[in-house]
Amino acid sequence: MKIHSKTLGTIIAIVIFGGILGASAMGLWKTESVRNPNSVQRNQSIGEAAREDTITGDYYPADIRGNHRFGEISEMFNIPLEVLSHAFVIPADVNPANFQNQDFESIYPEFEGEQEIGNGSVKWFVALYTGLPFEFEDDEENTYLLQPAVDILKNHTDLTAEQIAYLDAYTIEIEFEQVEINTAEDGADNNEEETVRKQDEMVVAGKTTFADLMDWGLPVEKIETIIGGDIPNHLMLVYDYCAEKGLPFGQIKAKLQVEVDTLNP
Amino acid sequence: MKSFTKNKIWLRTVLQIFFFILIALIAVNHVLKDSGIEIPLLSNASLHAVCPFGGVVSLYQFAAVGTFTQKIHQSSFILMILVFVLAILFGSVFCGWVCPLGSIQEWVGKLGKRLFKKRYNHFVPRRIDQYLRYLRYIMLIWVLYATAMTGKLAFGDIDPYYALFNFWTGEVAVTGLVVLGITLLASLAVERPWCKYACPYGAILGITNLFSIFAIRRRESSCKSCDICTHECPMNIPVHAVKVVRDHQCIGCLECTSEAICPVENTVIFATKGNL
Repeated sequence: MKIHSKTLGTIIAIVIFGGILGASAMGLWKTESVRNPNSVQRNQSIGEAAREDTITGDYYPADIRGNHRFGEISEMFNIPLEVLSHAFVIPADVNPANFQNQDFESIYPEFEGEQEIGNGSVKWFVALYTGLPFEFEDDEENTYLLQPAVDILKNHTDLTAEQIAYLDAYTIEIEFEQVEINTAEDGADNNEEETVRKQDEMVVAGKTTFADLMDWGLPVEKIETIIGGDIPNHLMLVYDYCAEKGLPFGQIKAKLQVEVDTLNP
Repeated sequence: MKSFTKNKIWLRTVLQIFFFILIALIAVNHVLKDSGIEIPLLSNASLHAVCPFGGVVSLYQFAAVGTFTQKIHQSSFILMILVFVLAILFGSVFCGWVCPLGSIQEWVGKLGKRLFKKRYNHFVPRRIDQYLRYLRYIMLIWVLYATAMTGKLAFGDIDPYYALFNFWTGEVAVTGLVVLGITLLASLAVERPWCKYACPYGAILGITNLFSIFAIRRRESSCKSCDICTHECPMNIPVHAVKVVRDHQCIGCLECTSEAICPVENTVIFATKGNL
């Protein structure tokens, strides 16, 4: 059988687009975060926390866009501006009411890529804070929250144990150093607090694999002692391992972090 | 007998332009998503989500622990399967008809043809070139091994395809931009240099040329041995010297066929076994 270029081109287009359409029809075409079952667990756990009387509200966290300002979000979801500002550690010289979600890149350039603070983080925080339903969108698998946001959520809302464990896995722990800056304007000494962020690159989190720990220099024996068994596969997430074995991720993570910290004092 | 005038495989050009623009717009839409302005009716998926090679590099991890490599999604797996179906039928036609990185090299090469005339695509001595063609298998093995060991996109920082559509975002590693720059510059002298010497996805698809159902076939009885098919081949395959092109470098562009350049009707064709 001989094939003409027009036929070949048509078949190529049909196979690619027909295949995509077919996969979509079967629910298999997913360009979003489906890299492990945890993503589903995370979505479900948020959905579980949704209060019935707020589901019919006008605003949904999923509608939050990068050009929304904190002031608008505060009004829409009835979250005090100070809470948003504190949760996302907005610098003192930035007016939180005018801060847009798309500005995170400028204040958190270090939190991009594998651990990202961005629009998805705000959606997630708002969803948990208000109890509104929310599902992560395409490419939000790297969404994390900062420690202050997690602290607020733990104190403000009734989170389930599962949600707390999940939050622990997706928290970026940062240190805050209160730096006193002396200014001599108008002849007076004014103390101004500036928040300085630091991120430890070797932070055990939800997306940490055993391979990451080994890359950081943690001996296999030490890891296996902490997790109480053999590493099944170095590519496995520590979080997945704990979920599979019914281990408390928060405790395992803390123990591993202690060991990791000793490697790089 | 036809004249030596080349007929254009116009549908290939149309598809190349279409896929190039489509991927470029998806990349733009992905960035626009965060600002709340999106191109309607167009996917805003990440570039990794619409790259079939992502499925290939994730295979080991998916088999071992049931998860995808970081940044890779299920859509990459679907595309990988679809492209493999095409490859089993027609060989690596994805490279010649779809891949935007291949297309841009080809378009830059048109400028190179004007600059270097007959010397274009013949700069690398054949005795060296024949070994360099296997470099992409070394690249493939390294990419698969490194990705399997780390669970991360080992190829990401040097990927010229990602750099091509994201160079304006500031998210591309300098190494990626350098590789893209070298590739485009080299395209002025060599046709599809990345495809020939470095592309790991081309390497794996090229293997299917060895057993694909359709292949370029030459009817010896009517062939005038003018060698024009060989001269026209962007991948420098000696089409005139073989009955069936089973070369791992063939991209199925059909530029050597009687439909395009071969002056004798029905002599170089894209067909199944037994058609001659």
